[in-house]
Amino acid sequence: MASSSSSTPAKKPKLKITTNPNWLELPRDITSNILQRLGTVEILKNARNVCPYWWNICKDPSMWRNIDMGTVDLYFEPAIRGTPDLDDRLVKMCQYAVDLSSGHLEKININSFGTDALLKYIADRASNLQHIRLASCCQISDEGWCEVAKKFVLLKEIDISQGFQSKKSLEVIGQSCPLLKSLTFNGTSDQSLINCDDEALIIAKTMSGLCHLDIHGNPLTDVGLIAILDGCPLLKSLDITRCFNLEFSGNLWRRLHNQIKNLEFGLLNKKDLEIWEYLSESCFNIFDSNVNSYYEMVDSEDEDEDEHEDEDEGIDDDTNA
Amino acid sequence: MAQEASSSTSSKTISLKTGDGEIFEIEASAAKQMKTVQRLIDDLGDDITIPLHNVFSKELPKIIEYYKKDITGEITKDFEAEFVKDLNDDEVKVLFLAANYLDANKLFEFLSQNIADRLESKSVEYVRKYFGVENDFTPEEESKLREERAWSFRGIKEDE
Repeated sequence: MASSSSSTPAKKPKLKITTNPNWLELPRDITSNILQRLGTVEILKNARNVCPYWWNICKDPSMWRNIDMGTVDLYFEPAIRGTPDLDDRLVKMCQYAVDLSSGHLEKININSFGTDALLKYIADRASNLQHIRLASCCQISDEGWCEVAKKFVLLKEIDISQGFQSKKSLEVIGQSCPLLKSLTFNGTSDQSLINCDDEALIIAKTMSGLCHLDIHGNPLTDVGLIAILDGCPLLKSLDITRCFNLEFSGNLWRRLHNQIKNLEFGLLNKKDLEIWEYLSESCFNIFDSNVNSYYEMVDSEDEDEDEHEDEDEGIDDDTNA
Repeated sequence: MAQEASSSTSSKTISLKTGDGEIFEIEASAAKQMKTVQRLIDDLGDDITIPLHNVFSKELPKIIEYYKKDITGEITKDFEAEFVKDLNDDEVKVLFLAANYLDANKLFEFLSQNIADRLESKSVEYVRKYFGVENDFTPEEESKLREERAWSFRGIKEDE
């Protein structure tokens, strides 16, 4: 083994550790790497109170590119549960975090406590926002979105799950967010069985860059679905669970399967057994033994259905052509 | 059928020497994943035993185990769960710092997440103990903290 004349490596190692590593000597970006993985509430309530050095790190805008207050668990954490005016406090906390981001905010995830005012607060301070999730935020209205959509031009991903937005919000979003690649838009209103393609047509017309779309529970019909397939050529992932007005007439189902790599549809229409059998014949390996039990579960939930007898026959009758 | 000198890196092994003098072998392709090691190889050549002054015989085998799995593409969630299952907090810390020293990015990110998971929902006091950090806020700083926390959760104990 020849001894080399120069044994110093090209670059110094990031950290020289001794037998008793002192965590305070860690470079900021290392500590920040760990701390960023804690949720926003965790950082603000605990991590940053550990010592002045960490307090200081937690003020760095780079720590606040991602604000995650999206878990429902938040409401059940022992330390938080039962706090009066919880939603107000969470709003304030969120605003504080948005301030800390100093315009570097890229991703935000909010569950339940979102309001129109908060949405505006974010829009005014986070023009670089690319991902937004507002789950179950019943205090955010169409007017809220109409006011702010034009400030969110860089948005790539919008998730408005279980919200009360209507096609009005979709319209402004479609007009204002040309970079949109992923949309989740499903409301709390119970799945309407009245055919309506308004929302589907807006999506088809204004969101041509979509790769992922989750519109479960939407009242769209085949017309709307075809429009979406036509208007969104990049669409690879689609969730049409509980879209009960779809009939898949003609070769729509095959086309859907050809175009969409990742299709979620749950149980489409428990009244329409022809589809059930057609799908089984098509053999896309989509049915497993779980489906029957899901069917029964859905069946028992919905007491308004008056075709139980037909359905029972259908399940057992495999040979029906 | 001339016999070519085997120069394929995938079958070559590198010798690593820990700070406490023990030698371990690692595949060259695994060594590539540790940028510090690779830099040393670039400087010193791959026939030499690479000295790692700041990594010790307690942790290096575990790191080698991780990257052995990595180069065969076998790292799964189960493997990762198993990997950290029996590590106590100190061992995770030491591994983490070693991964940082070795510039072994994948392991570093994985362990960083694991540490964050261990800290999640823990009190300020617990975190201080974990990192061996003292509460060296001055009283003035403490009161400034309280002011800034307009949304503080009054009445809720933070230190348990």
